[in-house]
Amino acid sequence: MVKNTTIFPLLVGLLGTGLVLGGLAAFIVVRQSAAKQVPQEISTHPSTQSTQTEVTSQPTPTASSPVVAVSFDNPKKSAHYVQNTPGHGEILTTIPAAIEIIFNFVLAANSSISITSNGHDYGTGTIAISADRLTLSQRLDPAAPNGLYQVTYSACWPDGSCHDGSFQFAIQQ
Amino acid sequence: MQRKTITWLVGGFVLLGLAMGGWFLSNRGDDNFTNPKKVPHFEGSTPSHGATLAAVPINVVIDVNFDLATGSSITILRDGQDVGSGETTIDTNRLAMRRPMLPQAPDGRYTVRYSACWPDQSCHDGSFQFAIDRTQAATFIDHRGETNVEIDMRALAFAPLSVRVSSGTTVTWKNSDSVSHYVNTDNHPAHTYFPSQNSFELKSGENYAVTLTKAGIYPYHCSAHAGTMVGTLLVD
Repeated sequence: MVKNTTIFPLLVGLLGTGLVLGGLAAFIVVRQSAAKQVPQEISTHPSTQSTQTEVTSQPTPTASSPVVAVSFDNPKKSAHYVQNTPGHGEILTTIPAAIEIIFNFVLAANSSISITSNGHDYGTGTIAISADRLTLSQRLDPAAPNGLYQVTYSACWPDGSCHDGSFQFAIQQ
Repeated sequence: MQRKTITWLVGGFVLLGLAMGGWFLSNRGDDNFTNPKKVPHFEGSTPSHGATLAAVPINVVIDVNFDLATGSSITILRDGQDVGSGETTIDTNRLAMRRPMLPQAPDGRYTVRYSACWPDQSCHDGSFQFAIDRTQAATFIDHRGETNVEIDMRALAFAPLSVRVSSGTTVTWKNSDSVSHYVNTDNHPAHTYFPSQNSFELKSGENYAVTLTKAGIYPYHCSAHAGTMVGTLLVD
């Protein structure tokens, strides 16, 4: 038979043990939960979902410039994006002199643009940043052919970090 | 006492201890955030996931790299109650959505649930958490009651780092460094939390001033030294 004077210390000890075990168990659960940083659920959105666009208006199709169906991918915009010229999804009947992208924060010198069609880069000359450092531009080859053009740009910031964006236009002369 | 009774007592206290330990740790607060869920095109948020703030954020902002469409929404929950104030709005360039918070929102952990909708009319849900702990305000340098407050930029840091001011105070940042600095609202590089605070390049010796009226917390940074040069304003 256990003496009463033994029970109280025994119970206190058991309570303390229980607290320790409970805390340890919760700690392990929390650590395992914190360690699972990778599986952040990310929904998918078809980033290359296309918008089918057909040239049905001017110019009148001829044997040398038939109507061309153009599919534009969705654009991607970097931070501080304001607008770009040509606009995304535009079908131009003349070759634009230059591609311009306007931002609302100052660009760093290592910002860049590429203007490609069928894997060929049609940008010419140096990439320019305006005096106020808000516009990124590059001239386009005046002999650029008809077709779909992909503009990919990298907007870089004072800390050296860069964020990319893209848009498309077409030339149909 | 019989052995059976002792056994029941032992088991009961062990269970009680486990329960108390689990309850204690589950209510520790700011380091117990659930994993966030990010939508496609997600770039960042302010507050950031897991942040603990010394005051209520003036708004919750979510940044993306794709055009947001009408129907996008933000809900800011605490204990199942929405403490957002007014409607969710989309910025002019459609790359950020924001919703103000009730200024009297209490301390505790908040869950932000948002729906980002796109031009093709699809929507995707995301979530993240942050916490408010007003006891942290005690660490701020108190300049309440002053009409004008100056913050120095030197040694690649804002001095003071954390400043508490009254509504209507004009804060002036002074560049005492030999290199250029910026004063930009979080997060980097979107700078969308409080756009009125954004400066361009501040060369050595140049100043930049902003008058703050809305109560809340204002985290900011220097874009040239975004990883390390950070500061916080708390407006009462």
